[in-house]
Amino acid sequence: MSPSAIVHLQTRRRWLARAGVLLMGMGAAAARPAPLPAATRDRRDLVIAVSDSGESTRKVVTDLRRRFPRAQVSDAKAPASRRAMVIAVGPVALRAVMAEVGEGRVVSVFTSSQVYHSIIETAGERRSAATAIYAEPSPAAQLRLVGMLFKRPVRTAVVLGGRTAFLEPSLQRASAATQMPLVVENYGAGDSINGILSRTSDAPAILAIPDSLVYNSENLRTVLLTTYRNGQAVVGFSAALVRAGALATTYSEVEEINAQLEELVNDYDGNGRLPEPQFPKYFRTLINEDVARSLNLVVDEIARNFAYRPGQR
Amino acid sequence: MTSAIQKRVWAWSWKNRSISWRLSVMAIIPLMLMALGELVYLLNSSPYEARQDLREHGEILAAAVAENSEYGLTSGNLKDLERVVRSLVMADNWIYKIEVLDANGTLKVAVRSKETRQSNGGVFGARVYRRALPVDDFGRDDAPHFTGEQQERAETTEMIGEVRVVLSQQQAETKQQRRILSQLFLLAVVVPTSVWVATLLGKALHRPMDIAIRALRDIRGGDYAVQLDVDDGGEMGELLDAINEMSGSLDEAKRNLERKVQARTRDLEASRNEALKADAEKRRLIQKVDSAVEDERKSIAIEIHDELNAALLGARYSSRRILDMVAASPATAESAVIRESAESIIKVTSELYTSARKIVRRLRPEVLDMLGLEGAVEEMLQTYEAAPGAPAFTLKATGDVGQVEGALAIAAYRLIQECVSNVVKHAQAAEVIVMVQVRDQGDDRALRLAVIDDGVGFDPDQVQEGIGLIGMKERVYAFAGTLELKTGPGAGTHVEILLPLAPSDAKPHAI
Repeated sequence: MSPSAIVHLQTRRRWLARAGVLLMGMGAAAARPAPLPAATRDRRDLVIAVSDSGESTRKVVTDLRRRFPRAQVSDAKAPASRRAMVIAVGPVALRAVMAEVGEGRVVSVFTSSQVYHSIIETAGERRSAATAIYAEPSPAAQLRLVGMLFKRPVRTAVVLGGRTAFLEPSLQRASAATQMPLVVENYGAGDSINGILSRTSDAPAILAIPDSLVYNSENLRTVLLTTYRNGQAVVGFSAALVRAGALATTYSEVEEINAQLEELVNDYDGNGRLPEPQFPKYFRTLINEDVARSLNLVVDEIARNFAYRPGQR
Repeated sequence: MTSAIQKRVWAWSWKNRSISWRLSVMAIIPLMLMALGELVYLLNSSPYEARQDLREHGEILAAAVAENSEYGLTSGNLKDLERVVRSLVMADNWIYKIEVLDANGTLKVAVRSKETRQSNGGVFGARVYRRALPVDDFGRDDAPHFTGEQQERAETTEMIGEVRVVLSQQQAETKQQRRILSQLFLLAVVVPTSVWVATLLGKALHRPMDIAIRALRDIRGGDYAVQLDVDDGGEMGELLDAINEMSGSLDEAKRNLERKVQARTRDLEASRNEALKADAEKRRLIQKVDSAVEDERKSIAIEIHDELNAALLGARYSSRRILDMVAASPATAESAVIRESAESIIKVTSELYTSARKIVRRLRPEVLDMLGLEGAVEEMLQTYEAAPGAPAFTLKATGDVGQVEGALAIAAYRLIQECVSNVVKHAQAAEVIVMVQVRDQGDDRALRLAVIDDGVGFDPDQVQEGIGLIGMKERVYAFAGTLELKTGPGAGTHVEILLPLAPSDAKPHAI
């Protein structure tokens, strides 16, 4: 295939993606909105920026349209109103929104903390107008889940790479709050994950924080095998990782992230202050019972039902 | 020629064999062919299966080692990998050597069997892949990140090394030999067992066939009261049922036939009795006719004897007186004529008298009454023999001929008279033997008459029966006797007559 043909194909794909986004917005607008809480206010200057028309993204947009019926769904690369608040769904949308000049606030959702920070660091002046609800689970909730699984405070090892080193303070705070001893290992250039794991082999639990420099799809199998042979429980960062062999995780569904986003937007409308980036507040728990059995862990209903849902106190 | 031999061989080998033999052959021949095919396949396929086993074994081993090498090559934990490979080489005596290489072809692990094995079983390789888990590490920035129940990503692979497994052929050959031996043993057990079972089944099928055949033999022998116990189903059951029905039908048909035969026999006996009755009546009628003829002859003879002969004697006496008177008178011409006339009358009357006596003798053989049958026959033969040119007659009488009298004596006399008359008239014989024999030994009581001449004889097929022979047969028939004629051209003639001397026959019915 010639270079010109490839360019033509890429242009065509972008055009199709934009058309898909517009159609998705029209479809969402046509859907009958469900009744909303009385405190929810609709905003005329709210834009939902998306960069793809995948099934998950459509699900996100549908739920957001239900929560913000008058919000505009827009291709992330299309210019939005300068004062509009933009909800950036995913990294591509966030990068595109942050590249535009505007005065509106930006809320990132469904983007991991490591990717969010890598984008924000290059965003220039507008970085102060952005905040995020990270995609990965809250370390504090994960540490509490570890305590529930072991039914006692256990040493928990965390490997932080360059992209997630900023999380260490919050991890220490969570450790203190949950009284779970934390062993932080920094992953530097030239380090081997197996070497680091062998150093932390005395820790009964490994809290996996998503950092592609430390954990990636190529070495996750080896990590899981090594920790299994060491008798260590890995608390992962997604349901997919639990199905691949991790012990457990807390995770958030689209509706739970969007509920937290709705609260954030409402708070901002109420007090005009944009909060700091935060981990998902609402979550639920998934446990791999086979792995728990292999590690001789008796899982109780408290751990299985560990969750925090919207409206729950 | 070849076809005829083939047909003969086929007929000998198949068509003339029993059902059980055929059934056994039908069961055994396919079995033997199958066993032969199995044997041929076994021997021919053995090398191929050995190679196939080696290939499958090698490929599976290489794939298994490659699968287990991912962690070692990825994590650098080669000691653990070597331990696994070594245990595998020790446990599997097919393996000559296993080597694990990295993506650059550098040998990382090599374990060789300590036993004396040969590396002639082939080399089997498998690539070692590092398979990426279909898990989002949240490091990519081209798509939203979800922690929940999202669609999984596709698994990706990367080659990170290679495994080489070198096998020894010895174990595969040993395995094949064991397989061949076990299958040969199985055939050695299965084939005789199957033959035995086939024979049993053939006998089981033959038993009702044998019953059916025995029943058919009984039916063929006339025993139609055959009833078989039918405890078989299918065609055999139908066959036995059919035999039962057939025997019942035949038995009924036999009874009907016997009834008809009995009825027909009664009819035939009645007809026979009627015929016998008619035959007796016919004989009586013939005897009556013969008796009437004899009576008439006797009456005519008496008339001739009493009337004609007396008149002839009177005429001759008168003629003699005329001669005497002429002799006493003077000789004149008239007296000479008278004397010649008288002498002529005497001569004619003498001849007539003689002829009349012959006629009387033939019409009424009174000699029977005076001399009996033997004397009458002898007198008759002398009379015939006296004729000019007559043959020489010899009478042979044996037994108590004197007891033969009455109608039977007359019939015997007439029969011999007819025979002798025929001989004199036609045979041109020189010698004639007449036999009269009475046999009286218990139940064998009969009068045997035989007239044998050495004349010209005749062809019975060419010569039409004359009145004389027909009369003889009727006369024999009337006395329930038999007449046999033996003759031929130039062979003379032999007439043999047998007349029963039963008490009733010895004295014929009163006429």
